[in-house]
Amino acid sequence: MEDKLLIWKLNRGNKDALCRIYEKYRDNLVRIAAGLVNDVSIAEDIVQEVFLTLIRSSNKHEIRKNLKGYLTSCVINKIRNLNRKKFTQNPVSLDDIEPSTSASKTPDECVGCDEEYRNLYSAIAQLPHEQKETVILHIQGKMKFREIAQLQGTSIKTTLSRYNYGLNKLRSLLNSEVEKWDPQNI
Amino acid sequence: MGSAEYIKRLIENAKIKINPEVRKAALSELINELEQTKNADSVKLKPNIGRTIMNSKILKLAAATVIIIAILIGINQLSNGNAAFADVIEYFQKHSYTFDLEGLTMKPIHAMVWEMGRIRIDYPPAVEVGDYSSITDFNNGQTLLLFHQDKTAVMKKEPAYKSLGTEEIISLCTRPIAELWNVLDGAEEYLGEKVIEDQRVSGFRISKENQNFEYDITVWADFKSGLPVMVETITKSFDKSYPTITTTMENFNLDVKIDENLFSLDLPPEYTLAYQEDLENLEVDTKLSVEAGKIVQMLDLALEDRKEEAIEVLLEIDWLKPIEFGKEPYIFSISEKEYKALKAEDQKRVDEEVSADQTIIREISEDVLNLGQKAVDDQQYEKAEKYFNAGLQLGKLLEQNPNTMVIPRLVGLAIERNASKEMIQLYTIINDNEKVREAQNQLSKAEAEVDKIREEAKQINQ
Repeated sequence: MEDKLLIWKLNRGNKDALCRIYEKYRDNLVRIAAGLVNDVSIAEDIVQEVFLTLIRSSNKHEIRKNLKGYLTSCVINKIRNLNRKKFTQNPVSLDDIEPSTSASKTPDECVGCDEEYRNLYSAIAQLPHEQKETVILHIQGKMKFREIAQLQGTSIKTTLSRYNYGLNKLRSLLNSEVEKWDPQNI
Repeated sequence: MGSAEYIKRLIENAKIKINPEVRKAALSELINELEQTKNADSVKLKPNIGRTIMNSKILKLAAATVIIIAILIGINQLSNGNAAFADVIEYFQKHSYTFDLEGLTMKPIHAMVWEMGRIRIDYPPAVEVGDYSSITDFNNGQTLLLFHQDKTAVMKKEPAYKSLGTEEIISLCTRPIAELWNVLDGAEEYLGEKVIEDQRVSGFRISKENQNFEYDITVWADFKSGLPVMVETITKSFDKSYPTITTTMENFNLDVKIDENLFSLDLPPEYTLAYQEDLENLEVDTKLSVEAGKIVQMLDLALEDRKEEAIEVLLEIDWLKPIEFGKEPYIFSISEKEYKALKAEDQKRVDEEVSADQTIIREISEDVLNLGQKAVDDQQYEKAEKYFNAGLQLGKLLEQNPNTMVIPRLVGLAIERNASKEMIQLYTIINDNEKVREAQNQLSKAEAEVDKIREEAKQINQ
């Protein structure tokens, strides 16, 4: 209900409501976007665009139930459009396709994060986009598989399968670190 | 399993370095954007049918074209030399006439001119508007638009043809006849003769232009009487994005008696003049009753995210006592007619308030019906009835006054239908046939009302 109230207030131009929504969701959205595009600056730009769209939208009152879901969907769609645009502008043959354009970056060029996580993001970047999206949305975005399936236009089974494939691939990519893992240290 | 859990936790705990300066600057940009949007919204008028039509090319061109024809009839006579131009002008100043205009709309427009100074155009039905008419007084530029289905009127005091730059033509109509001679003498080109539907006609062409448009006007007039048979106009804008418009005026009836009342610029008694009233001046002759106060309290609580308390207040309402509201909440007080009469910016304000309130009411009604369903599952039938009845009454409250705004009424009817369906199931379970019938009647009544509103809307859209 609080989100609905915030949207109602935002619709009336309330600055505090905007700040509250921003504080509540911005960083997590940036984290999700960064996980998907492997670049914090681009992620910040994408999230900023999503907030600008929210402000300019005349149909804010239609976002009734789930503001978080709405904002996350907007981020995902923007990233998809960005990827589509990249592909259209630089068409490549199937042989040239790499798992991700950002995967070729060195860990230092990757997401601006602590060193221990750079390898993780580098590995995530190597996942096929659908798997990457599912893993990030479920773990970082705390979205249910049903919601992700709805967003991706697939069945829950497909989403679950993408998630499992994604985690398995990450496990093999991060093999050495996984072996060092001791649950007591977490 | 262990390693998958590790990866999951790694992703969960992954921190990215967020630059606080960037974050602050980004928020600042958003606040600026919000301020700008707010300012833009405050001056941006709600799109509405009347305004759209007032600004449409149709009306502007219709007005301009009709004025042009009055002049052209004179030109024709002048060039033909069969009758004095002054006589013709005098004829048109003393007689009414009608004609059909093609080219501006899908179907021909029927226009009536009264004493040279006023014109009434009856437009064919338009989507979302239905049929409508415009009455323009060329002496002062005032236009009254009447939307017949909706019984709404719009008064435009500024001349609709102003942007076409036709003021000089308008002013010609009101100047002495001698001036018309001086201005128009020799401007026409003789096109020779031809036959239109067994009628021998002479043709003349005149080209005129102002700062915005170039007009190419061809008049075909009866060879003997000099009265117009067909007039074609081609209007080209110097702005290339504006399309070239070709119109044809024909079926002139120059000897017709027209009811003068059709040209009145006074508001017909059953019509509401739109976009005139201030919300602040709206008067309501009722005061907030105790039970209505509970509804207001319920809305306030729900808005503060205290939904459970809101539902408790709803359940406390005694629906048999009078429920009367003051000026607010608008969702219960403003009639459709009053809404239409409000200024555009006030309509927007009411829209926002009503939209928020109806969302809350819809959600609360969903919640009480869900609670009722749960009570049925738990075999707490009395409790269930109380919940369903609260939903039903809330729906009724929104829809019971046929004069209130249409959208909230439809929301009310939807709530009423859902509550009635639940009640039918409940009373069937407890074998109370009389109450089943009552709930069925309630449902049928609500459905019939929805059909009626839809049918009315369909008629308007036809």
